[in-house]
Amino acid sequence: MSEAGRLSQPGELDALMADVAGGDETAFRRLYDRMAGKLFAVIRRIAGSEAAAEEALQETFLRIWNHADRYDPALASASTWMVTIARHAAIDLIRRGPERVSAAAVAIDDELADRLAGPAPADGLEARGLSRCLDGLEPDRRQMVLLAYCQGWSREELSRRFDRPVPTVKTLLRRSLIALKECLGGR
Amino acid sequence: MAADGKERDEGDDASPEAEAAEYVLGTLDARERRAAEWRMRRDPAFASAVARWSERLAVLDSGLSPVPPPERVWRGIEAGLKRGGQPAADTVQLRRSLARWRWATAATALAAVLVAAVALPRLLAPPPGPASYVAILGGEGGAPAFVASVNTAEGTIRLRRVGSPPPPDRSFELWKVPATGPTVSLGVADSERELKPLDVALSPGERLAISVEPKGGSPTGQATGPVVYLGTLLPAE
Repeated sequence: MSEAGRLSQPGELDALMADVAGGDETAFRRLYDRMAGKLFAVIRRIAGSEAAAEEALQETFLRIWNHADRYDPALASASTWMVTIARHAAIDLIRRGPERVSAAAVAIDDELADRLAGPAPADGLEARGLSRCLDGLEPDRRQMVLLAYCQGWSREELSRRFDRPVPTVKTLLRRSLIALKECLGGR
Repeated sequence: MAADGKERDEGDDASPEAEAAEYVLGTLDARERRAAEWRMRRDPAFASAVARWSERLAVLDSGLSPVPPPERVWRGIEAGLKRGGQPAADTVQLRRSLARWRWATAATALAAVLVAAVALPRLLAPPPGPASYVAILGGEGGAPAFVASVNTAEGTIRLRRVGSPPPPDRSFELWKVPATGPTVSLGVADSERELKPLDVALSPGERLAISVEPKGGSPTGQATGPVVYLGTLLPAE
């Protein structure tokens, strides 16, 4: 269970999700009130503009409405399930646009990577665990994972930024992720 | 820990576990992602791997403070529900046009919204003289980008940009969009403030639009680039 899931009272979210899957619009509005702020924060990191972020958030909730019946509380928390949808909605939106690397204003450096990785004080054990495991990766690989997850960078964008062929980026990402999983004890 | 995985065999990179991980990371291309989503619905072990990766990486979002979205987002969702959960068909084209250039100006978008929020009450006050109509031109999401005031007595249109400037090698061009008939160019609008003579008639309810054109304006007399902002003329008082 993620920190976010705990903060959002998963049992109550699960109940709301069940009502939403049944087509209950009142429950849907309550779910929105509960989750929109969190999902908007996740999306804004990826989307890069307010207009794009708002569009992605709308798309996110339409997908939640349409696919609520696919949510399985036995697999993940409702919060995490919705975050995954939100990140993909934001990524879909930015990939429809031109390559983002031209937005050279995005200054990427170790400091940014550290800030992205650095857990907020209240993050607890899970965050510290992941942070420690991220620190175990080579700096380039850590940045690739963080830029992909937090800012929605594609393999192509990472390929240009890190001057590695796209297939290599894919391999590095996958190996880094598997290494993270092992570091976390395979959980 | 085997951080660089050099000793690992290549087969690992193609494993369902790695596929699930990259799905959650967001780096699969469109085709791979559709395949992963198809597999999630048919292969419980794969769906479970995806869920575990979501939980593992969700920690990276846990430090984010919630950001309340503007109320218009919910209104857009409600409108989407009424259409059966589909995005608005009539906005898709405009949205795609926007997507083509918005990254050039993305960095200033938030600043523009803030400026607009501060500046609008003042801008909306009727300018000196008998200004007849105003229009607020906004893009998707409703953030204002231009405020236009038409003064029929003086025969001028005053344009104030409150949003992002055009991309460096492009110009904004202002158009009158009548209910029927062709659009009429009202000139290039690259400066933050423009005061233009108005030699066409405008009336309330007509729309103004801004398109992105080659530097200096449309070469054809009709909009050639994407229409990025729209607004309706309203009586000023």
